[in-house]
Amino acid sequence: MSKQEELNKITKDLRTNVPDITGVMIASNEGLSIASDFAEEDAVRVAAVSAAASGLGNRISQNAALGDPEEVMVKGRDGLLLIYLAGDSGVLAVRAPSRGNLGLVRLEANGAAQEVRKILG
Amino acid sequence: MTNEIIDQIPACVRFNDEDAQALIRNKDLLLTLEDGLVDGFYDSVYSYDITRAVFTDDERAAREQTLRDWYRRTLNGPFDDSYWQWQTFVGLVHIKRKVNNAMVSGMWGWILTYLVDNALEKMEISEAKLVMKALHALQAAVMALISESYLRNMFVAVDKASGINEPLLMRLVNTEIDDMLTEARKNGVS
Repeated sequence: MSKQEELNKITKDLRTNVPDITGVMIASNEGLSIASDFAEEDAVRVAAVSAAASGLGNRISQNAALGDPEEVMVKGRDGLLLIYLAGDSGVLAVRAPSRGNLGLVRLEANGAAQEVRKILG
Repeated sequence: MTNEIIDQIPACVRFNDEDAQALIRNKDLLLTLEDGLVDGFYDSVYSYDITRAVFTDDERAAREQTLRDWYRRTLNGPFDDSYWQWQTFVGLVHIKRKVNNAMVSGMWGWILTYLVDNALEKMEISEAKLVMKALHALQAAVMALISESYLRNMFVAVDKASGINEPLLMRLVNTEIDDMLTEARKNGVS
């Protein structure tokens, strides 16, 4: 299986395993969408802002002495976006409703981020 | 960064050894214009509210000395790596001092006009042409270094502060630029 196929599978598995998740984005740390099931017209911006949020979260963690960053969360009235660093070269972002099973979303997304980290190297 | 910026200028129009020799050959004449150039430069800067706001009244002497040092160093050569790296460093200083590239470009125009008005008529036409070419090539190189280092150092600082690296920043910018271009064209700007 190619790297791209592996990343596509992670995206698909997340949606299958956690029905609450409404979007998955795997992007490079330069904001390029690598694998995603966001609508095509949204994917370019979601990839870029997810990478930006990840970078900013990383700096906030460093400057506020929070330790290694684990997650960046943006919560809106209609949902939330959880962003995970996936190694030095990628990020994983998942969108979920505000009232979903956040514990399960986090558990599965964190595991998926580890997989993405291994694949991207 | 300095070499990367210089490399962006087409080699055939880049400041070259012939330009350097033209300036150094005429340095005695050009150095007689130093006082007028320095006074006129800062009279212009201090006479306009926006550029005056960059400086405090009590620093004019220090700024004049900086310009004097640059002028002498330029006319005495050599145009080596340390000279060009110094111009790149100026871009960094300008960010901190809030000297933007419009101000620099405007004052470069003033310098060229002053030198053309006061020096070239005292030279043979063939020599005046060489000096004018050298001054324009120098202006292009220094402006390129100052303005590009201004921009690139902004990117570096944004990356250090926010974790948003240059390729990511350019992706964010380009995404928005596409929309701005579409909007401008919709409004009749071609």
